[in-house]
Amino acid sequence: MTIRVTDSYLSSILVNDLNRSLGRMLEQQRMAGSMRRIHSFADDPRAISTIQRYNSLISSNEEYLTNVTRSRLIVDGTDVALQNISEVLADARVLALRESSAIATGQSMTTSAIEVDNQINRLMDVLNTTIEGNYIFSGHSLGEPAFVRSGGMVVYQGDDNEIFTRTGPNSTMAVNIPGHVFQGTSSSLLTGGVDLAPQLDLTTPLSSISLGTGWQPGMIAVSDGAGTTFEIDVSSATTINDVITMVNTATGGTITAGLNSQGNGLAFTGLAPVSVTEVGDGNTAASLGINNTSSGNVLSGNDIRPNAELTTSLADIASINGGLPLGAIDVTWQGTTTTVDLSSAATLGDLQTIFNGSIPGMQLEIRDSTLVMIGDTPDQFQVESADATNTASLLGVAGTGSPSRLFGMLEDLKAHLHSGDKNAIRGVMTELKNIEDTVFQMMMKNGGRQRDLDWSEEILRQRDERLRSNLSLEQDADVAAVASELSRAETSYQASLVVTSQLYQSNLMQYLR
Amino acid sequence: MPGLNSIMDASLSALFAAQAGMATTGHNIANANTPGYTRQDVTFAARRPDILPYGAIGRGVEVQGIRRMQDEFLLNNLRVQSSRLASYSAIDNVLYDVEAILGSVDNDHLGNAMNEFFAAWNTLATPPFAESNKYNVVATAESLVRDFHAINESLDDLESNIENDIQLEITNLNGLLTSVAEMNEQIMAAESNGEPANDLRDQRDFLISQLSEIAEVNVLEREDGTKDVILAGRTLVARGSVTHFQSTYVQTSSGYQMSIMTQGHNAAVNLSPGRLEGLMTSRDVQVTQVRDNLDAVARQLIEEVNTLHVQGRTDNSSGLTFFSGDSMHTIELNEAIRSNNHLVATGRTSADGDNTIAEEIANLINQSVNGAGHSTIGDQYRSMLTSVASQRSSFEFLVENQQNVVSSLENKMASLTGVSLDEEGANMVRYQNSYNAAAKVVSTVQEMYDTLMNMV
Repeated sequence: MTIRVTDSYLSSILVNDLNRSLGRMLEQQRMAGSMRRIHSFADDPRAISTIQRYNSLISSNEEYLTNVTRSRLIVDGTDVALQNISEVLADARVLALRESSAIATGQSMTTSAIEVDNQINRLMDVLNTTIEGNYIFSGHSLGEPAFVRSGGMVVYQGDDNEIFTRTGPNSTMAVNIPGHVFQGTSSSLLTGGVDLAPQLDLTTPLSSISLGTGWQPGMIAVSDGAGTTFEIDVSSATTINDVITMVNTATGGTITAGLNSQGNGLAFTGLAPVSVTEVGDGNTAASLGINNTSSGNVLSGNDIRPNAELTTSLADIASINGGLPLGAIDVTWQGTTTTVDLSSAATLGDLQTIFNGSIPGMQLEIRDSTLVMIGDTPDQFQVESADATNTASLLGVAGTGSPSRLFGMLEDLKAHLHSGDKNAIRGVMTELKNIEDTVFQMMMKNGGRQRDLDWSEEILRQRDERLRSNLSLEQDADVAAVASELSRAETSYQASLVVTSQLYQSNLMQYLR
Repeated sequence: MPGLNSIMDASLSALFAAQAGMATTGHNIANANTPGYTRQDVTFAARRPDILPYGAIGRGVEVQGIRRMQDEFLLNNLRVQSSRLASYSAIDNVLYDVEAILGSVDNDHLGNAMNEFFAAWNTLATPPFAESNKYNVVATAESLVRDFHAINESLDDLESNIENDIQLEITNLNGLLTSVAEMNEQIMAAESNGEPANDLRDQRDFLISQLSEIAEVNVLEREDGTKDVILAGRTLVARGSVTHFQSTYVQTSSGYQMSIMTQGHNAAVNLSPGRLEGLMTSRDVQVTQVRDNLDAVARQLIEEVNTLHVQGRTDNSSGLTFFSGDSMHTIELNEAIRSNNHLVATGRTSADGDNTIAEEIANLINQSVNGAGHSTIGDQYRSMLTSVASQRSSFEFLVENQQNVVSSLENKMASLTGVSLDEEGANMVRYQNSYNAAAKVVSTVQEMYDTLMNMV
């Protein structure tokens, strides 16, 4: 059917076309001006929820990064304080050794007593460290100094609560060390000297490796001396065996993965030198303890054993595996010697059950993969093997347990210096060593937190990058495409204008005379 | 054999016919841009001839009538589609306003206010602690409350504007109904002699088309040329009589709401598609949904924050709720906390370093809330935004599609009923030539008369 072209028909068509062209051009101009694909919520309802969620996640992530930065103030402040405490204790030990020796004189002891008094004041200053007005060793009582002088003694007036801060959507970490650990007025302590972390085995979960720190899923690059490189995605692995299987499968036998000869890490065998590196900005190889290059044909990884736990089998602990079954130990406390038979123990949990059930008032705990014996009074206690199995040494608990009274010990030392009792001065050394051990453990613990903060910051920065990249994909305009579309829309609009003006100019009336 | 007078008569009829054609062409050209005008066309027919023994000799031409080039089926179809377009456009416009109230991708003010509120709690929960951070929590909470209230007031204003528009549309509708009835009477009078009142019919059709944009109507034409207008099952125009619409406020569960009924009936009218129905729907469905969803977000926020905050204590207080109210309209910051920021509880004990409550409130942004499945408060808010965005996008699409349908029908209508200046120009030349030719015949007959007279 032939269309009858009337003026209103022509007008309607042309105006619609013009509007369409103009609309397209404005849309492209808006995109080009803002470099955003989406402005109003209705521009892309599917993407809007994603964009808003990314914005929210980025905002949360920034908060976590701020938390990490601010927490670092506390953790770093604690580190400096612990180092100062350690230095003061080292000075005190030198002083005690000197004044308990034959060269000590009454005059030197009096001078040393003054020096110890100064050390007490220094320690009080250190333990009353404030960060932005917060007393960092006061537990939750941040507004109060941790240690004050009361009745001629230094007393702790904080509490034993840790402060947790959020470093991720599902992770929190403690950032402070409550000062009660230096008070030591209610207990005596013997910290074991043997590492009880179990050997790695194929079923070890990756989340528990490196003393429970876990790993970072991702890709690793494995290469051998022939120059062959394999990039292997091990992110879906959950156990050590999964990683080994994935590497062996991916390299087709060129590289053979397994456990190292010490049983505490991974080992990759192939044509020398075998090398493992990260892929991109990942941290997977490092978290598996294997980012290195071998000198021979075996690349032996670092120690990534998990933490010792109550369920850890004694047979899995390298240092005591050869001494099983265990024998008995003698514990002398408050004038009574108790023999504890540990021969039936198969796990660390069994050791705890037997020990705690044998001596009321004393507990056996596992802290940072070592045994710790605690008496619930400040009385000293002695632990030794009761038979030829040498069990106490095997477990690292042969020795004397004593209280860890930081200020109490120094007050005792000062008193002994004043009285000139060299034996008593020498007797303080055990408690001094205990306190040094405690401070060392606190430094280790705090160092672990610093590493966790580093790790969290790294993860949060990577997450921030990823989120922003994903957000950009959803909301930003493709610059090249927009420029091209804009140019096309402008041409189309100009063409529409020209056609419209010419069409309106020509009709039959112009030709009639 | 026809006489010279007979030839003169035939020529005269041709002159008159050409004049009628020229007049109609002039009328068409004059109304080329008149809205609702339907082009007119002169219908000619040969006059009854004189029957003579040797055959029939024509007696010229006569104008049978002037007809409107109208297509009722197309017109009705266009009205139906225009009603739908008006309905979709009304809803789309309201959704545009709702979206503007909620902000934009770059200015998601309520979402930002919620993020800042939880960020303030996070800062409060992060050591080293500072009492001054409580000021920030209170300030961001007040900001959040203000934003909820501002959105609520904007939605109230929007509802009020919609009801004003409804009132205006009813007034407009009633005016159009009255005009149609008046046109009916004029047409009835004008056509009583059997001649169609083309221009009056155009005007009436144009009025009915305007009516259709407000609400879809059914039209029945009577034999006397009048048209009855039926809307929502009720005859509103019957010849010259009119029944008007009126608005009234009826009590509902959420307060008084405007309802539409006809004069003499108490029951609300079940509106057919059109701008009026679109406005009513957008008020009752789209705006209400957004309000309900935002109320739910505000309620969840109040409940979740309060559940944690009442567990907290400070040196001077315990068991304090943080917010009061249960909707975006009623949400308020606890007056005691507003006037004394120190009453913001950070922990379950009054210890300065107890940050457990602050930490848990800050983490609400990541926590699934009670009764909301696996979604967080933020997810609920985003889900509401997506719902608005989807509806807006959907109605934009409907409007665009419907606009195309209407444009297509309008183009078809314009093609059929519109005035073409080219065509009218050609007609003008045709009628002019016809007139010239007829005049020439008259002139020739005159000469024949002169010849004849000179012979006498």
